[in-house]
Amino acid sequence: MKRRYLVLGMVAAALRGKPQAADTSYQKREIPKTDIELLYSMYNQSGDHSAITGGIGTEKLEVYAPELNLSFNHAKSTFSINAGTDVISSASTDRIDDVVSSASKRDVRYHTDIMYLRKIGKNQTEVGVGTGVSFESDYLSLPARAFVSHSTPSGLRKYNLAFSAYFDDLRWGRRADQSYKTPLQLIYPAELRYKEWYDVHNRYTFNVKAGIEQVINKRLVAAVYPEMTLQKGLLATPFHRVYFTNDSLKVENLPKQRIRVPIGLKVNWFAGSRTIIKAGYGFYRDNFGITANNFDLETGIKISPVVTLSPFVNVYRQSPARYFRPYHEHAPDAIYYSSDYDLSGFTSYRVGVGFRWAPFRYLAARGIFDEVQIRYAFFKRSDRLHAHMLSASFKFTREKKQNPNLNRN
Amino acid sequence: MRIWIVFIFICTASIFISCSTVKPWQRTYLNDPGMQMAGSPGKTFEDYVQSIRTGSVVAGSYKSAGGCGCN
Repeated sequence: MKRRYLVLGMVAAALRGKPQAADTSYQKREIPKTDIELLYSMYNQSGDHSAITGGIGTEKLEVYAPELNLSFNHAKSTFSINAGTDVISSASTDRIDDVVSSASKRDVRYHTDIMYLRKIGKNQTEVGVGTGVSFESDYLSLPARAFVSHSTPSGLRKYNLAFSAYFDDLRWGRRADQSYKTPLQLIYPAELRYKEWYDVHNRYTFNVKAGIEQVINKRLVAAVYPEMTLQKGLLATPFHRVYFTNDSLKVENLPKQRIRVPIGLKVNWFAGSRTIIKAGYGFYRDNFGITANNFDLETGIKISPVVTLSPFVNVYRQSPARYFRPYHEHAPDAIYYSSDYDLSGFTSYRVGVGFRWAPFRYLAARGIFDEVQIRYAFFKRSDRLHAHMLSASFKFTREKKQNPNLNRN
Repeated sequence: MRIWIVFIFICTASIFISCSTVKPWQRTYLNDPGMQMAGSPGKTFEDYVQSIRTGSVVAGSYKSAGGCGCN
């Protein structure tokens, strides 16, 4: 009980912390501009616990993901649009059918998002709305988003609140070039198509995310991100097989509601004159029985004013969902069952390095080359799944009006 | 579970009550691109992949349009 009062007292003190006087001597001037970002990511995975074949079999997967982000910035508003594709080559998805190298081996996800942000009042409050679409052969997702943020007059504390909803349809047959033609239907493994296994084909996701970012001193900034997600509908994947101890075979079945609660803490510290240390901790829990802890550490080392190297490490550990059992280990009378190793208990780590070159150089009268970032990561899970991730981004800016104050060297 | 929540609250509260005034001209380090809370595009991609390959999601990460993540 004492501990509870102590915590409540500290939280109350934090929220009531003395307000710092607004600084009126400094006025930030916004130049209308367009930010252009090209991003190319690659993902290459290997493993031998595919959920499509019941927890055994290859998980070989390659994803190539080009993406374009455009952001049109004005003094009071920002309109951003994002579009990209994920070209997916999956050996395990190939096993939905008995025929290896069927059309299901290759898939493409197309996605686009738009977002409109507007500053109101004395530019301390920003509101935004957004939507988009994402579809691949077995999935259609329609998101809706709303966002509000508010900075204190001193600019040292910022509150964020974001709400998003996703309306997803898991039926196959949306693309004209695939073998599973209309009408739209859920696709089960080839040998299990003798009946309909589910009475729903939609998945609804509602997410509320808050954030408080606080400047602690000249070199230190911290943030906390509490979040809650509610998912309803078809949460199982229709073409995941599950083998039982009595040799029977069914498709995966999971509860139709999932509540997920992640919370994250982040601290960025500018140590010395060349080093930035970014540390993060995340805690996660859901009603499937998964509890997870996530640690992030990244060190940005400024080799020169325009070049930064950032080695990083991530360590993650989760307990298994109560519905998970390996291949052939589910009891025949189980109500919910899955052999998807993403829901198993494991420890994973991710290590890698990032490279950033930010020359901020004029390429044309109003065109600026901002930066290039390249990042490589190696991911390994304790169930022997491992993956390589590589991403490269290029940022450019186009000014609408030339700024005479900028150095053009 | 409770211990973790108490730990997070204490850390959060301790951080927020220990802040000091920083004038705009003293924010050279804070305004550095590397000090921003939003991650790089590559980090966003890695967090997205991690949210698929694990049973959890990363708090505070940006989820773009949905996908099954079933491959």
